[in-house]
Amino acid sequence: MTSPERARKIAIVGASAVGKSTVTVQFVEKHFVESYYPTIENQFSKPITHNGIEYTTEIIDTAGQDEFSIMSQKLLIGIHGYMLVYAVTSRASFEMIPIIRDKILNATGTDSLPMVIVGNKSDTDESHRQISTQEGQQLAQSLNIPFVETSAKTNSNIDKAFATLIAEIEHTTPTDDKSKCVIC
Amino acid sequence: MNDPKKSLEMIGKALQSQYEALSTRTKYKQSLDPNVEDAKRFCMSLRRSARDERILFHYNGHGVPRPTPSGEIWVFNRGYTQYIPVSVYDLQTWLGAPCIYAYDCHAAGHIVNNFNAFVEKRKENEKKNGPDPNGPPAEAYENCIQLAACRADEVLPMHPELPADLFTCCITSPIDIAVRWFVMQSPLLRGQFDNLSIPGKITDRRTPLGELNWIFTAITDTIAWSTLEGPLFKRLFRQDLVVAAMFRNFLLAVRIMRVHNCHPVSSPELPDTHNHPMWDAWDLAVDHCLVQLPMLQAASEPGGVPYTYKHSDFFEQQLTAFEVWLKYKSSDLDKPPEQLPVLLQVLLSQIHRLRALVLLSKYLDLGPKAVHLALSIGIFPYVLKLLQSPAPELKPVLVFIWARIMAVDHKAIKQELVKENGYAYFINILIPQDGPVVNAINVPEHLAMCAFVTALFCEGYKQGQRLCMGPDLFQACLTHTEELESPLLRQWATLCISQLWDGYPEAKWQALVKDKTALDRLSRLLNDPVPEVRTACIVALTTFLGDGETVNPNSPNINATAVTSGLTHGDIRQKELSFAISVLALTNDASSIVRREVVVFYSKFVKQYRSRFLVAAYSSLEEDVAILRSQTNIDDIRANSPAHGSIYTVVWRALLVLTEDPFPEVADYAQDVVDYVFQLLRKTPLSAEVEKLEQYLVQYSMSSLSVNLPELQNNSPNKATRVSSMGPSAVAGSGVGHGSHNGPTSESKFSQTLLKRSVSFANTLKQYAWGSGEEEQLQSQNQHPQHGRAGNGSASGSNTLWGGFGGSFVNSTGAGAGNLGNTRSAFPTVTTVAYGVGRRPRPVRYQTKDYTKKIVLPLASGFFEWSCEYFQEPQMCNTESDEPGSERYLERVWRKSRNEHIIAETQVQKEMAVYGGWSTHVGLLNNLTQPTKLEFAQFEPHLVGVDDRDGVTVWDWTESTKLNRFCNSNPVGTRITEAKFLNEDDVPLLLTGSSEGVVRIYRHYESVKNIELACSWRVLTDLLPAHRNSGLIAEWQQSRGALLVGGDVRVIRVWDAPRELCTSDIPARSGSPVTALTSDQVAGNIVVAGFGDGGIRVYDRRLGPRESLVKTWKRHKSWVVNVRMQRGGARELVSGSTDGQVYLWDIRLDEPVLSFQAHSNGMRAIDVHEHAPVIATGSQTVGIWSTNGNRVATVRPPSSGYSLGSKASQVSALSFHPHRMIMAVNNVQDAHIGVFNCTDDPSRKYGR
Repeated sequence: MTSPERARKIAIVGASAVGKSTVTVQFVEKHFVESYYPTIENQFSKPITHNGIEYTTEIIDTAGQDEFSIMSQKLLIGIHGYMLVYAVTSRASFEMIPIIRDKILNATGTDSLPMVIVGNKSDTDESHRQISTQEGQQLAQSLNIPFVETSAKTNSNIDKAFATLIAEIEHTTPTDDKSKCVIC
Repeated sequence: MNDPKKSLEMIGKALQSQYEALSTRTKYKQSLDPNVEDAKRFCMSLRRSARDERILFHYNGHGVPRPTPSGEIWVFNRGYTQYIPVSVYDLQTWLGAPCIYAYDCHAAGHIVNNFNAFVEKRKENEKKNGPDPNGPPAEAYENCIQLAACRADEVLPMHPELPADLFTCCITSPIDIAVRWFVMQSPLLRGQFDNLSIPGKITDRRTPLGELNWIFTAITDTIAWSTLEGPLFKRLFRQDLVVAAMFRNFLLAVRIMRVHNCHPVSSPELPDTHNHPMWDAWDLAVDHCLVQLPMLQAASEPGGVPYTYKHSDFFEQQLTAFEVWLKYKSSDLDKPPEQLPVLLQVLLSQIHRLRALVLLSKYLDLGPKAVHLALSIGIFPYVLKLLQSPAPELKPVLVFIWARIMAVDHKAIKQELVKENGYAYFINILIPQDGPVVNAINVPEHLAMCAFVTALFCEGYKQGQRLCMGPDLFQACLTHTEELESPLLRQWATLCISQLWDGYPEAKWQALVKDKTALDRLSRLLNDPVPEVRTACIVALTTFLGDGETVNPNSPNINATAVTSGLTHGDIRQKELSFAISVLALTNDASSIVRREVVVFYSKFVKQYRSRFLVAAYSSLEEDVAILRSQTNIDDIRANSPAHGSIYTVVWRALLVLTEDPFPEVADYAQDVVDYVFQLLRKTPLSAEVEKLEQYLVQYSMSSLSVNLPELQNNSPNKATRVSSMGPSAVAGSGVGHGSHNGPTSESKFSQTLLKRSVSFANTLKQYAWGSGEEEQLQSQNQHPQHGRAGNGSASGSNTLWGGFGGSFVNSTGAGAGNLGNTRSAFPTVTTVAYGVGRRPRPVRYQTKDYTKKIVLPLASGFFEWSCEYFQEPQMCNTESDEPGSERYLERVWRKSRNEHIIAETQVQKEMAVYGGWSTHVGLLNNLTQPTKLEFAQFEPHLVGVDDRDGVTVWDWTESTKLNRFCNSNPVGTRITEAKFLNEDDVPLLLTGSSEGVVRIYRHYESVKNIELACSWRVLTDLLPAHRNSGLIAEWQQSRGALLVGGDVRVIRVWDAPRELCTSDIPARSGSPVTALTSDQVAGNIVVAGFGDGGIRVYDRRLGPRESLVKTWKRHKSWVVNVRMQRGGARELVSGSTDGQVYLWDIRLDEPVLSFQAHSNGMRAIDVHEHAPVIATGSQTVGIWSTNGNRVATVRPPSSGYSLGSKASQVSALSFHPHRMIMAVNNVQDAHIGVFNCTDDPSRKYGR
């Protein structure tokens, strides 16, 4: 039984076919899924340790979105942090990032939320890459969000991405506030 | 919208109920949001339970991603967290074949394309690795049907007013969506209709909804029929109810979804139908219904005003359109009317059924093509069902329809008639019932059609015969054969009887048992005036004859009925023999179909009694050889022969006669029979004897022939062999049948000779078959007779002189004439063209005999099939020549006006003839052979010359061109003595009479290509020998259709053309031959004949044969050259004899009215103009006389330019044009014909 303060929910969002499920599965099950089955919605659970504290994390793997799709309530209520994924091989997915962010912020009515931008498929060679690391970094900076480039295939930076997000969550959430209300 | 889980089930249930509306008998299973394993299990269990039947697979893909371009559709994983793709290949494998697929999702075209690609792959795999043992073969997959909502690159319409699964709606509930869509599209109706539910039930055609559905079915069916190819239409729209319904509705889907930028796809692909004009009719129907909808809805509410629904007149209008098509455009059968499928639908409804059937019958009347089209639409099951209907007004129409259908396709349909006793329908009509006959417009015709259908039903179908066997039917048919009014009914009732007992002995005994007089009544038909009925009767008698097996008394075929009825084997034999005797009378029938049928009858008879025929044949051979050897013990031989005097000998001789029949088909048939007997004879122990006899006969014929026909000796060997097979009597000109008139195949015959078939031998025999009386003549006729022209002694001197020069004429017409120059020619003739040169016109549909085929008896008679064709021809509409506006009709009208014009033109010229000059040359025609007779056609510009052998030449004298020259096929040694035109008001026919007593009638005689032998038969038998022969003289009475013939016989025979029978013989009461015949053309009662002894006799046909001679004049002292009664003008009767004397007669008086001596040197020709009062006489010059006896002019006959010296030529033939003042003259020993015109010469008119 973990204490309630240690439960976290994160949602992986992004355009379709960027590698959300692959990243998640790589993180949770430590293997790379070759085939592509469009996700409807998947939920994973994994403990992540950060600063010595173990957080039981529920990871919600969502269906790919476009600018018209409506975000379900499930993704807006009770989510601690969002991982915005794009693929460095697809400019469209990159351009979707700010849109999705806006969607989330509009829906939740907040100014900012813990997020991290992940540029997946970083293992592709330069000829196929459409977004440079710099560009990604620039976007992240402008939005004031941390940025990680990962590759689920080679399992590079996957753990780092999740750790960053958890860190971001801890950073923005007031911890040990000793306030009267305890809402998790 | 409530619980999402429930909604899934609701959608499933709704879909199932929609499909149930299409087909109630199917079992439905739903698979809602399945995962991969479930989907697989589901499909495979479906296939297991369906086995070989078709599975319908409906895929609703709303909510899952689109099918991929590589052909995958999406299902879920077990946790519903992912979409799992399923390849269509796997789907194919699970579901097997056959299947129908319906895909309602975006980009459905991907599935279709990949499906087809996978089928190709399967086929390739199969070729490489062999078939898959578990599943069906690859071809089966090709038969799967797919309907997809849109193309591969398209998205389904997202219109707010349209349902998301628009495609499914269209496929399963078309009426609803069609009405809804109609309202959407119409700019006027928006907002007016909240409630679009149309009252009524879909299945009830009387309610608005049902009617709308009915109209929809009719319209989509029509659209499909008119746009699709035949086989595709049949496969998709006519084989399976569900498939048909789905495809009909698919057409609607195509129309609706196109408007929303969506193109439904199907495999097999259909052509474009959305623009078909019939959709407008649909819109109209919907509109018609919607207009009344508010009133209907108001009426259904409580307290509402009642409203009766006005039914749509769609079907009436379609029927009217069909009627209009039938009236105006029915000749264009390639483009069938669109209304034909609607007709099919209309048959379902009671109200319009009769009208639809009448129209259908009119359509089927158009011909076999129409019948095939109608059958391809699927009329047949309906028409079959209707046979169960008791409605009397349908009877005549149904009978007609069935007659037309059976005429075209009876083999396939026969079995169908057995179901539910369909055939009984027709039998009940045939057997006269009590009660009034409704709609008896043409009862005998309908009875004939019923007989026709029954006959076809029994033909070659044992079960049919068994079912129809019943004494009532037989009796009924027998009664109908006595129906006086309708020859068609008589013919078909007889043919029906013949099919009832054909090859079915039980039926025969039944007939005999129940009614002893039955067969006698049947044989009475042998004397029927209509030739087809006579033929049908012979067919019936032929089928009655046994098959050569029932002769055996122990044969199991004779069953109990026969034995218990007291019918012994002998009785049956008696009957058969009596038939043989009665049929014998018909061997002289004028109609060739009757004669042919007689041969068929005898072929069966020969087969039946072949042992007896062998004896008969052998003994006749013996007799004939004995006669040739001039043996004295001929009587003994005859007495010794068992066959002498028996029916078999008589029949044998008749068959031999028939092998010489002038009509080629009959002769071929008879030859087959005779050869068959000889082949059998060869196989008997007597064959050695037979060979000896044959050798003798052949040698004899060869030698005697070469003596008498020397010019033929030098011919090519081919000709010689052919001619030599004819025998010595070929020489005799007097009407003894002989000689081969077959074409070049005869030499092959001869070469095969005595080893394989003795065809030529059969030919040789023919001559000897003519009763004993003829044989004596044969001996006396070894000398070639003098030609008629040489009657005057002075001519013979010139003959020999000319004979020498005759050879110098180089006539190279015709193949094989070769070197014909013979100085030693025995005949004084200018022609050196041999017999048989030139084309022999054949009858239509004649096929030359194949001598290599084995002879099978009994011979097949094609009469039944030929009669069946009658019902394939249009019967309701006028014939083409009566149809105003048709080509033939216009031709007729033109001809009529031309003829009238000619008559009008020439009537005024009559006067001129008397004083005008006749020496104006119009043309000089080189006939290349000496014509014995010249004949002008009345209205066509044709002049026909028949020569002294067998050639006929047709000239156009206005242009002096030769139109045609053909061979008359009369035997060697005979000559053509008569030429007449028949039916000159219409398309003229040419009749030629030759001295062996045969008349031949040609159609299209002026055309080299199209000439055909219409008819030919022997008009005179028993021609007498005489010192000088006149050959055959004929007179044609157009008004009565009677042909009078006389010649070297003691009677003047009258043949009736419509009946094709000899109606009477007028005894000539004179010892000398008839040399000229004429009659009054108007009523045709008075006949005048001139004789070789100078006598002229007048007969009245109205009196009986004994009293028919009413006047005899014996003024002429010598051979009467010609007697003529004018057709118009003063109706003078003129006669002239060879001594130059001309008399004019009045038949009321005994003395001539006028007489004058035209020439002193003998006269060879005399002719009177039909209208103008001029007589032309020919001697050394041509004299033109008026009927007052005054000489009007003298014309020098044309000199050929080859004439020698001072020897003046004699006129040999002379003829006036019937209307114009034109005359044709020909000289003895000259092949040139001069045509002279009478021109107006005013000086002579007054200077007389």
